[in-house]
Amino acid sequence: MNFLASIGQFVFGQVRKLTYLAAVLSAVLFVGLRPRHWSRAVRNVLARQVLFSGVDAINFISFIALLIGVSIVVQANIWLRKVGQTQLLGPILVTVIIRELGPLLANFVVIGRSGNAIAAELANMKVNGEVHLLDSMGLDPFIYLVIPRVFGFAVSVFCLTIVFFVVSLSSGYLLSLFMGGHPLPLADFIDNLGGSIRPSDAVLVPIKIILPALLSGVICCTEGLAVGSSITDVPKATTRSLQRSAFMLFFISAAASFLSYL
Amino acid sequence: MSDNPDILLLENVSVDETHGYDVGLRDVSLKLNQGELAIVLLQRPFFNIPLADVINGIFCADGGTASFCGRDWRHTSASRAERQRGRIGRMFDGPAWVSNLDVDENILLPQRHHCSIPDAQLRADAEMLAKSFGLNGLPATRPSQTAPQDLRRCACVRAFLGEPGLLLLERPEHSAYPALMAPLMTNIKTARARGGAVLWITNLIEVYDETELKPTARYRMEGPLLQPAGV
Repeated sequence: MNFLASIGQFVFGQVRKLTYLAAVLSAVLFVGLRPRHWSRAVRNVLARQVLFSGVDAINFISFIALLIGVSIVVQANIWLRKVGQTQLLGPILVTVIIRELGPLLANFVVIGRSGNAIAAELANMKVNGEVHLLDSMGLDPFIYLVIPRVFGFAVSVFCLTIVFFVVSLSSGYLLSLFMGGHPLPLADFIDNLGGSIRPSDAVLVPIKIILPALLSGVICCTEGLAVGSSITDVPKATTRSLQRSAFMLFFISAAASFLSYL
Repeated sequence: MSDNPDILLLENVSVDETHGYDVGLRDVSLKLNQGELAIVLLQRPFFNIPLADVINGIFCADGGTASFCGRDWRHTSASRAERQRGRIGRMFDGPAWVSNLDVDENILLPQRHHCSIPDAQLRADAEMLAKSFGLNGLPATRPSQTAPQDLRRCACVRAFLGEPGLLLLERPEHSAYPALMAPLMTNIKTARARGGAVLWITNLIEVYDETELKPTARYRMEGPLLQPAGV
Protein backbone atom coordinates (compact mmCIF):
# COMPACT_ATOMS: atom_id res chain seq x y z
CA MET A 1 0.00 0.00 0.00
CA ASN A 2 2.87 2.35 0.88
CA PHE A 3 4.46 1.59 -2.46
CA LEU A 4 1.25 2.45 -4.32
CA ALA A 5 0.83 5.57 -2.23
CA SER A 6 4.34 6.72 -3.05
CA ILE A 7 3.71 6.19 -6.77
CA GLY A 8 0.51 8.18 -6.52
CA GLN A 9 2.27 10.88 -4.57
CA PHE A 10 5.03 11.07 -7.19
CA VAL A 11 2.53 11.28 -10.06
CA PHE A 12 0.47 13.94 -8.34
CA GLY A 13 3.65 15.85 -7.53
CA GLN A 14 4.72 15.83 -11.18
CA VAL A 15 1.26 16.86 -12.35
CA ARG A 16 1.27 19.73 -9.84
CA LYS A 17 4.69 20.89 -11.08
CA LEU A 18 3.55 20.73 -14.70
CA THR A 19 0.35 22.60 -13.92
CA TYR A 20 2.36 25.26 -12.12
CA LEU A 21 4.74 25.61 -15.07
CA ALA A 22 1.86 25.86 -17.51
CA ALA A 23 0.21 28.49 -15.33
CA VAL A 24 3.38 30.60 -15.10
CA LEU A 25 4.00 30.26 -18.84
CA SER A 26 0.42 31.33 -19.59
CA ALA A 27 0.86 34.33 -17.30
CA VAL A 28 4.17 35.21 -19.00
CA LEU A 29 2.49 35.14 -22.41
CA PHE A 30 -0.66 36.90 -21.25
CA VAL A 31 1.19 39.72 -19.50
CA GLY A 32 4.16 39.82 -21.86
CA LEU A 33 2.04 40.30 -24.97
CA ARG A 34 0.61 43.55 -23.62
CA PRO A 35 2.76 46.48 -24.73
CA ARG A 36 1.98 48.57 -21.64
CA HIS A 37 4.07 46.23 -19.48
CA TRP A 38 7.18 46.85 -21.56
CA SER A 39 8.55 49.96 -19.92
CA ARG A 40 12.04 51.24 -20.76
CA ALA A 41 13.46 49.42 -17.76
CA VAL A 42 11.87 46.11 -18.82
CA ARG A 43 12.98 46.53 -22.44
CA ASN A 44 16.48 47.13 -21.16
CA VAL A 45 16.44 43.78 -19.34
CA LEU A 46 15.21 42.08 -22.53
CA ALA A 47 18.03 43.63 -24.55
CA ARG A 48 20.62 42.51 -22.01
CA GLN A 49 19.18 39.01 -21.98
CA VAL A 50 19.27 38.71 -25.77
CA LEU A 51 22.81 40.06 -25.75
CA PHE A 52 23.95 37.59 -23.13
CA SER A 53 22.00 34.50 -24.22
CA GLY A 54 21.93 35.10 -27.94
CA VAL A 55 24.62 37.41 -29.28
CA ASP A 56 27.35 36.20 -26.92
CA ALA A 57 26.57 32.58 -27.83
CA ILE A 58 26.83 33.00 -31.60
CA ASN A 59 30.48 31.99 -31.77
CA PHE A 60 29.95 28.93 -29.64
CA ILE A 61 26.85 27.73 -31.49
CA SER A 62 28.59 28.39 -34.82
CA PHE A 63 31.52 26.24 -33.73
CA ILE A 64 29.19 23.42 -32.66
CA ALA A 65 27.29 23.79 -35.94
CA LEU A 66 30.55 23.63 -37.86
CA LEU A 67 31.49 20.37 -36.17
CA ILE A 68 28.04 18.93 -36.76
CA GLY A 69 28.17 20.07 -40.36
CA VAL A 70 31.50 18.36 -40.84
CA SER A 71 30.45 15.12 -39.24
CA ILE A 72 26.96 14.78 -40.70
CA VAL A 73 26.77 16.67 -43.97
CA VAL A 74 30.12 15.45 -45.22
CA GLN A 75 29.43 11.85 -44.30
CA ALA A 76 25.92 11.89 -45.71
CA ASN A 77 27.08 13.55 -48.89
CA ILE A 78 29.91 11.10 -49.48
CA TRP A 79 28.15 7.86 -48.52
CA LEU A 80 24.87 8.57 -50.26
CA ARG A 81 26.79 9.30 -53.44
CA LYS A 82 28.64 5.98 -53.09
CA VAL A 83 25.41 4.01 -52.78
CA GLY A 84 23.75 6.06 -55.48
CA GLN A 85 21.07 7.52 -53.22
CA THR A 86 21.93 11.22 -53.47
CA GLN A 87 18.23 12.06 -53.65
CA LEU A 88 18.04 11.09 -49.96
CA LEU A 89 20.52 13.78 -48.93
CA GLY A 90 17.83 16.42 -48.49
CA PRO A 91 15.46 14.29 -46.40
CA ILE A 92 18.32 13.08 -44.18
CA LEU A 93 19.69 16.56 -43.55
CA VAL A 94 16.26 18.02 -42.95
CA THR A 95 15.47 15.23 -40.51
CA VAL A 96 18.76 15.25 -38.64
CA ILE A 97 19.74 18.93 -38.63
CA ILE A 98 16.57 20.93 -39.09
CA ARG A 99 14.03 18.77 -37.28
CA GLU A 100 16.20 17.29 -34.55
CA LEU A 101 19.68 18.57 -33.84
CA GLY A 102 19.25 22.29 -34.51
CA PRO A 103 16.43 22.96 -32.07
CA LEU A 104 17.84 20.51 -29.52
CA LEU A 105 21.41 21.82 -29.49
CA ALA A 106 20.51 25.51 -29.64
CA ASN A 107 18.19 25.03 -26.66
CA PHE A 108 20.77 22.96 -24.85
CA VAL A 109 23.53 25.52 -25.37
CA VAL A 110 21.33 28.36 -24.11
CA ILE A 111 20.18 26.33 -21.10
CA GLY A 112 23.78 25.49 -20.26
CA ARG A 113 25.13 29.00 -20.75
CA SER A 114 22.27 31.19 -19.62
CA GLY A 115 19.73 29.04 -17.78
CA ASN A 116 22.12 28.42 -14.94
CA ALA A 117 23.13 32.05 -14.90
CA ILE A 118 19.51 33.22 -14.72
CA ALA A 119 18.68 30.84 -11.88
CA ALA A 120 21.80 31.85 -9.94
CA GLU A 121 21.27 35.56 -10.57
CA LEU A 122 17.64 35.54 -9.47
CA ALA A 123 18.36 33.30 -6.49
CA ASN A 124 21.11 35.67 -5.33
CA MET A 125 18.81 38.64 -5.82
CA LYS A 126 16.16 36.93 -3.71
CA VAL A 127 18.62 36.03 -0.94
CA ASN A 128 20.07 39.57 -0.91
CA GLY A 129 16.65 41.20 -0.64
CA GLU A 130 16.84 42.77 -4.10
CA VAL A 131 13.49 41.30 -5.13
CA HIS A 132 11.92 42.97 -2.11
CA LEU A 133 13.68 46.18 -3.10
CA LEU A 134 12.23 46.09 -6.62
CA ASP A 135 8.79 45.42 -5.23
CA SER A 136 9.13 48.37 -2.86
CA MET A 137 9.98 50.66 -5.76
CA GLY A 138 6.89 49.55 -7.65
CA LEU A 139 8.66 47.24 -10.09
CA ASP A 140 6.70 44.01 -10.16
CA PRO A 141 9.37 41.26 -10.00
CA PHE A 142 7.31 39.12 -12.38
CA ILE A 143 7.25 41.87 -14.99
CA TYR A 144 10.76 43.18 -14.44
CA LEU A 145 12.63 39.94 -13.77
CA VAL A 146 10.71 37.03 -15.28
CA ILE A 147 9.03 38.23 -18.47
CA PRO A 148 12.02 39.84 -20.24
CA ARG A 149 14.23 36.89 -19.33
CA VAL A 150 11.78 34.29 -20.66
CA PHE A 151 11.19 36.26 -23.87
CA GLY A 152 14.91 36.95 -24.23
CA PHE A 153 15.57 33.25 -23.80
CA ALA A 154 13.09 32.33 -26.53
CA VAL A 155 14.29 35.01 -28.97
CA SER A 156 17.91 33.93 -28.43
CA VAL A 157 17.17 30.24 -28.97
CA PHE A 158 15.19 30.97 -32.12
CA CYS A 159 17.94 33.10 -33.64
CA LEU A 160 20.70 30.70 -32.60
CA THR A 161 18.81 27.81 -34.19
CA ILE A 162 18.72 29.71 -37.49
CA VAL A 163 22.45 30.36 -37.16
CA PHE A 164 22.93 26.66 -36.46
CA PHE A 165 21.01 25.64 -39.59
CA VAL A 166 22.92 28.02 -41.83
CA VAL A 167 26.38 27.27 -40.45
CA SER A 168 26.03 23.49 -40.24
CA LEU A 169 24.54 23.07 -43.70
CA SER A 170 26.80 25.55 -45.46
CA SER A 171 29.98 24.43 -43.70
CA GLY A 172 29.20 20.79 -44.39
CA TYR A 173 28.55 21.47 -48.04
CA LEU A 174 31.67 23.62 -48.43
CA LEU A 175 33.87 21.08 -46.67
CA SER A 176 32.65 18.19 -48.78
CA LEU A 177 33.38 20.36 -51.81
CA PHE A 178 36.95 21.00 -50.66
CA MET A 179 37.51 17.38 -49.73
CA GLY A 180 36.74 16.37 -53.27
CA GLY A 181 33.72 14.28 -52.41
CA HIS A 182 31.99 15.46 -55.62
CA PRO A 183 28.89 16.70 -53.83
CA LEU A 184 25.70 17.73 -55.56
CA PRO A 185 25.78 21.10 -57.32
CA LEU A 186 24.78 23.88 -54.92
CA ALA A 187 21.48 24.54 -56.69
CA ASP A 188 20.56 20.84 -56.50
CA PHE A 189 21.65 20.71 -52.87
CA ILE A 190 19.38 23.64 -51.96
CA ASP A 191 16.57 22.29 -54.09
CA ASN A 192 16.90 18.88 -52.48
CA LEU A 193 16.78 20.44 -49.00
CA GLY A 194 13.83 22.65 -49.82
CA GLY A 195 11.89 19.77 -51.36
CA SER A 196 12.35 17.69 -48.23
CA ILE A 197 10.73 20.22 -45.93
CA ARG A 198 7.10 19.29 -45.27
CA PRO A 199 4.34 21.80 -44.57
CA SER A 200 4.04 20.38 -41.04
CA ASP A 201 7.66 21.39 -40.41
CA ALA A 202 6.58 25.01 -40.59
CA VAL A 203 4.61 24.37 -37.39
CA LEU A 204 6.50 21.60 -35.62
CA VAL A 205 10.04 22.98 -35.98
CA PRO A 206 9.18 26.40 -34.46
CA ILE A 207 7.33 24.57 -31.68
CA LYS A 208 10.41 22.46 -31.02
CA ILE A 209 12.51 25.59 -30.91
CA ILE A 210 10.32 27.98 -28.95
CA LEU A 211 8.27 25.87 -26.54
CA PRO A 212 11.27 24.31 -24.75
CA ALA A 213 12.95 27.74 -24.70
CA LEU A 214 9.93 29.37 -23.07
CA LEU A 215 9.58 26.54 -20.57
CA SER A 216 13.30 26.54 -19.76
CA GLY A 217 13.15 30.27 -19.17
CA VAL A 218 10.19 29.81 -16.86
CA ILE A 219 11.85 26.92 -15.02
CA CYS A 220 15.09 28.84 -14.46
CA CYS A 221 13.27 31.96 -13.27
CA THR A 222 10.89 30.13 -10.95
CA GLU A 223 13.62 27.95 -9.47
CA GLY A 224 15.77 31.02 -8.91
CA LEU A 225 12.98 32.96 -7.24
CA ALA A 226 11.84 29.98 -5.16
CA VAL A 227 14.89 30.01 -2.89
CA GLY A 228 14.56 30.89 0.76
CA SER A 229 16.83 33.28 2.59
CA SER A 230 19.94 31.11 2.75
CA ILE A 231 22.84 31.49 0.33
CA THR A 232 23.22 27.69 0.32
CA ASP A 233 19.91 27.46 -1.53
CA VAL A 234 21.47 29.09 -4.61
CA PRO A 235 23.52 26.14 -5.96
CA LYS A 236 20.57 23.82 -5.30
CA ALA A 237 18.34 26.09 -7.37
CA THR A 238 20.78 26.19 -10.27
CA THR A 239 21.18 22.41 -10.29
CA ARG A 240 17.42 21.88 -10.17
CA SER A 241 16.82 24.37 -12.95
CA LEU A 242 19.39 22.69 -15.21
CA GLN A 243 17.97 19.22 -14.58
CA ARG A 244 14.37 20.23 -15.09
CA SER A 245 15.08 22.35 -18.16
CA ALA A 246 17.10 19.58 -19.80
CA PHE A 247 14.41 17.03 -19.02
CA MET A 248 11.71 19.29 -20.42
CA LEU A 249 13.76 19.96 -23.55
CA PHE A 250 14.33 16.28 -24.35
CA PHE A 251 10.74 15.39 -23.49
CA ILE A 252 9.24 18.05 -25.76
CA SER A 253 11.73 17.26 -28.50
CA ALA A 254 10.90 13.56 -28.38
CA ALA A 255 7.16 14.19 -28.19
CA ALA A 256 7.22 16.60 -31.14
CA SER A 257 9.33 14.15 -33.18
CA PHE A 258 6.90 11.38 -32.37
CA LEU A 259 3.97 13.54 -33.44
CA SER A 260 5.67 14.55 -36.66
CA TYR A 261 6.00 10.92 -37.79
CA LEU A 262 2.46 9.87 -36.93
CA MET B 1 -13.05 59.65 -1.56
CA SER B 2 -12.53 63.37 -1.04
CA ASP B 3 -10.92 65.59 -3.67
CA ASN B 4 -7.84 66.14 -1.55
CA PRO B 5 -7.23 62.97 0.41
CA ASP B 6 -4.45 62.58 2.95
CA ILE B 7 -1.21 61.50 1.36
CA LEU B 8 -0.73 58.92 4.08
CA LEU B 9 -3.24 57.53 6.52
CA LEU B 10 -2.66 54.73 8.98
CA GLU B 11 -5.60 53.76 11.15
CA ASN B 12 -5.10 51.34 14.04
CA VAL B 13 -2.53 49.36 12.09
CA SER B 14 -1.32 46.21 13.82
CA VAL B 15 1.41 43.84 12.70
CA ASP B 16 2.40 40.73 14.57
CA GLU B 17 6.07 40.59 15.51
CA THR B 18 6.40 37.07 14.15
CA HIS B 19 6.93 38.38 10.61
CA GLY B 20 10.69 38.69 10.95
CA TYR B 21 10.86 42.24 12.29
CA ASP B 22 12.47 43.24 15.58
CA VAL B 23 9.09 44.32 16.87
CA GLY B 24 5.56 44.52 15.45
CA LEU B 25 3.08 47.38 15.44
CA ARG B 26 0.03 47.78 17.62
CA ASP B 27 -2.83 50.17 16.86
CA VAL B 28 -0.59 52.59 15.03
CA SER B 29 -2.34 55.66 13.65
CA LEU B 30 -0.63 58.32 11.60
CA LYS B 31 -1.77 60.93 9.14
CA LEU B 32 0.25 63.00 6.72
CA ASN B 33 -1.05 65.65 4.40
CA GLN B 34 0.57 67.62 1.61
CA GLY B 35 3.64 69.51 2.73
CA GLU B 36 3.72 67.88 6.16
CA LEU B 37 6.67 66.20 7.82
CA ALA B 38 6.43 63.66 10.61
CA ILE B 39 9.46 62.39 12.41
CA VAL B 40 9.51 59.05 14.20
CA LEU B 41 12.14 58.20 16.80
CA LEU B 42 12.95 54.50 16.96
CA GLN B 43 13.46 52.78 20.27
CA ARG B 44 16.78 50.97 20.71
CA PRO B 45 17.41 48.22 19.78
CA PHE B 46 14.26 47.81 17.67
CA PHE B 47 15.38 49.41 14.38
CA ASN B 48 13.85 46.82 12.08
CA ILE B 49 10.15 47.66 12.24
CA PRO B 50 7.41 47.07 9.63
CA LEU B 51 6.26 50.70 9.52
CA ALA B 52 7.86 51.59 6.17
CA ASP B 53 6.79 48.32 4.53
CA VAL B 54 3.19 48.85 5.65
CA ILE B 55 3.19 52.44 4.41
CA ASN B 56 4.71 51.28 1.11
CA GLY B 57 1.98 48.67 0.75
CA ILE B 58 4.28 45.72 0.29
CA PHE B 59 3.37 44.31 3.66
CA CYS B 60 -0.26 43.89 4.50
CA ALA B 61 -1.04 44.80 8.09
CA ASP B 62 -2.70 42.13 10.22
CA GLY B 63 -5.23 44.72 11.39
CA GLY B 64 -6.29 48.28 10.63
CA THR B 65 -5.97 50.15 7.36
CA ALA B 66 -3.05 51.75 5.55
CA SER B 67 -3.90 54.16 2.75
CA PHE B 68 -1.82 56.18 0.33
CA CYS B 69 -3.49 59.07 -1.49
CA GLY B 70 -6.88 57.91 -0.27
CA ARG B 71 -6.52 54.32 -1.43
CA ASP B 72 -6.37 51.46 1.01
CA TRP B 73 -3.51 49.20 -0.07
CA ARG B 74 -5.60 46.17 0.78
CA HIS B 75 -8.20 47.10 -1.84
CA THR B 76 -5.82 48.32 -4.51
CA SER B 77 -5.15 46.20 -7.59
CA ALA B 78 -1.60 44.99 -8.17
CA SER B 79 -0.99 47.23 -11.17
CA ARG B 80 -2.35 50.32 -9.42
CA ALA B 81 -0.33 49.48 -6.32
CA GLU B 82 2.81 49.43 -8.47
CA ARG B 83 2.00 52.85 -9.88
CA GLN B 84 1.26 54.15 -6.38
CA ARG B 85 4.63 52.87 -5.15
CA GLY B 86 6.21 54.72 -8.03
CA ARG B 87 5.02 57.92 -6.33
CA ILE B 88 6.79 57.09 -3.08
CA GLY B 89 10.45 58.00 -2.80
CA ARG B 90 11.83 55.56 -0.31
CA MET B 91 15.23 55.67 1.25
CA PHE B 92 15.87 52.22 2.65
CA ASP B 93 17.55 51.43 5.91
CA GLY B 94 20.85 49.84 4.90
CA PRO B 95 22.17 49.04 1.44
CA ALA B 96 19.41 48.46 -1.09
CA TRP B 97 20.76 48.15 -4.58
CA VAL B 98 20.31 45.86 -7.55
CA SER B 99 23.79 44.36 -7.66
CA ASN B 100 23.93 43.66 -11.40
CA LEU B 101 23.21 47.28 -12.33
CA ASP B 102 25.52 50.25 -11.99
CA VAL B 103 24.63 52.82 -9.35
CA ASP B 104 23.46 55.37 -11.94
CA GLU B 105 21.19 52.74 -13.52
CA ASN B 106 19.88 51.88 -10.06
CA ILE B 107 19.05 55.53 -9.41
CA LEU B 108 17.18 55.94 -12.68
CA LEU B 109 15.50 52.52 -12.60
CA PRO B 110 12.20 53.40 -10.83
CA GLN B 111 11.68 56.50 -12.95
CA ARG B 112 12.53 54.70 -16.18
CA HIS B 113 9.86 52.16 -15.26
CA HIS B 114 7.13 54.48 -14.05
CA CYS B 115 7.36 57.67 -16.05
CA SER B 116 7.91 58.72 -19.61
CA ILE B 117 10.35 61.56 -19.03
CA PRO B 118 13.12 61.23 -21.64
CA ASP B 119 16.30 59.55 -20.42
CA ALA B 120 18.42 62.65 -21.00
CA GLN B 121 16.08 64.79 -18.91
CA LEU B 122 15.94 62.18 -16.15
CA ARG B 123 19.71 61.94 -16.05
CA ALA B 124 20.05 65.72 -15.96
CA ASP B 125 17.59 65.92 -13.05
CA ALA B 126 19.42 63.13 -11.23
CA GLU B 127 22.79 64.80 -11.75
CA MET B 128 21.45 68.05 -10.40
CA LEU B 129 20.13 66.27 -7.32
CA ALA B 130 23.42 64.40 -6.98
CA LYS B 131 25.28 67.71 -6.92
CA SER B 132 22.91 69.04 -4.27
CA PHE B 133 23.79 66.00 -2.13
CA GLY B 134 27.51 66.60 -2.57
CA LEU B 135 28.30 64.13 -5.34
CA ASN B 136 30.30 64.98 -8.44
CA GLY B 137 27.83 63.14 -10.63
CA LEU B 138 26.12 59.79 -10.87
CA PRO B 139 28.59 56.97 -10.16
CA ALA B 140 28.76 54.54 -13.08
CA THR B 141 30.18 51.77 -10.93
CA ARG B 142 28.62 48.71 -9.35
CA PRO B 143 27.21 49.26 -5.85
CA SER B 144 29.81 46.88 -4.43
CA GLN B 145 32.57 49.06 -5.87
CA THR B 146 31.15 52.36 -4.63
CA ALA B 147 32.11 53.98 -1.33
CA PRO B 148 29.40 53.53 1.35
CA GLN B 149 29.17 57.30 1.95
CA ASP B 150 28.56 57.89 -1.76
CA LEU B 151 25.97 55.11 -1.81
CA ARG B 152 24.10 56.83 1.00
CA ARG B 153 24.02 60.04 -1.00
CA CYS B 154 22.96 58.13 -4.10
CA ALA B 155 20.12 56.58 -2.12
CA CYS B 156 18.97 60.13 -1.34
CA VAL B 157 19.08 61.02 -5.04
CA ARG B 158 17.00 57.95 -5.93
CA ALA B 159 14.43 58.77 -3.24
CA PHE B 160 14.06 62.44 -4.21
CA LEU B 161 14.13 61.93 -7.99
CA GLY B 162 10.82 62.32 -9.81
CA GLU B 163 9.15 64.63 -7.29
CA PRO B 164 7.51 61.87 -5.21
CA GLY B 165 4.25 62.53 -3.37
CA LEU B 166 5.61 60.88 -0.25
CA LEU B 167 9.20 60.67 0.93
CA LEU B 168 9.75 57.70 3.17
CA LEU B 169 13.15 58.13 4.77
CA GLU B 170 14.43 55.28 6.90
CA ARG B 171 17.39 56.48 8.94
CA PRO B 172 18.71 58.55 6.02
CA GLU B 173 21.38 60.08 8.25
CA HIS B 174 22.67 56.64 9.25
CA SER B 175 26.48 56.57 9.04
CA ALA B 176 26.36 60.00 7.39
CA TYR B 177 25.47 62.24 10.32
CA PRO B 178 25.89 65.21 10.38
CA ALA B 179 27.36 65.54 6.87
CA LEU B 180 24.13 64.64 5.11
CA MET B 181 21.83 66.74 7.27
CA ALA B 182 22.18 70.06 5.45
CA PRO B 183 21.52 68.74 1.91
CA LEU B 184 18.71 66.55 3.24
CA MET B 185 17.00 69.46 4.93
CA THR B 186 17.36 71.67 1.86
CA ASN B 187 15.85 69.05 -0.43
CA ILE B 188 13.10 68.21 2.04
CA LYS B 189 12.19 71.89 2.21
CA THR B 190 11.87 71.98 -1.58
CA ALA B 191 9.85 68.77 -1.62
CA ARG B 192 7.46 70.07 1.04
CA ALA B 193 7.03 73.38 -0.73
CA ARG B 194 6.03 71.39 -3.81
CA GLY B 195 3.35 69.58 -1.82
CA GLY B 196 5.15 66.37 -0.94
CA ALA B 197 4.75 64.75 2.46
CA VAL B 198 7.73 63.40 4.37
CA LEU B 199 8.06 60.67 6.97
CA TRP B 200 11.52 60.60 8.55
CA ILE B 201 12.32 57.59 10.70
CA THR B 202 15.43 58.00 12.84
CA ASN B 203 17.19 56.53 15.82
CA LEU B 204 19.17 59.68 16.59
CA ILE B 205 17.80 62.00 19.22
CA GLU B 206 19.80 64.85 17.65
CA VAL B 207 17.84 64.46 14.43
CA TYR B 208 14.58 64.06 16.31
CA ASP B 209 15.21 67.32 18.16
CA GLU B 210 16.43 69.21 15.09
CA THR B 211 14.37 72.39 15.00
CA GLU B 212 15.44 73.29 11.46
CA LEU B 213 13.41 70.36 10.18
CA LYS B 214 10.19 72.07 11.24
CA PRO B 215 8.19 68.85 11.58
CA THR B 216 4.43 69.00 11.76
CA ALA B 217 4.36 65.99 14.09
CA ARG B 218 6.77 64.01 16.24
CA TYR B 219 6.31 60.41 17.33
CA ARG B 220 8.24 57.91 19.41
CA MET B 221 8.18 54.17 18.96
CA GLU B 222 7.73 52.46 22.31
CA GLY B 223 7.82 48.78 21.60
CA PRO B 224 5.04 48.19 19.06
CA LEU B 225 3.30 51.47 19.94
CA LEU B 226 3.66 54.75 18.10
CA GLN B 227 3.28 57.50 20.66
CA PRO B 228 2.58 61.06 19.52
CA ALA B 229 5.03 63.48 21.11
CA GLY B 230 3.69 66.80 19.90
CA VAL B 231 5.39 69.13 17.46
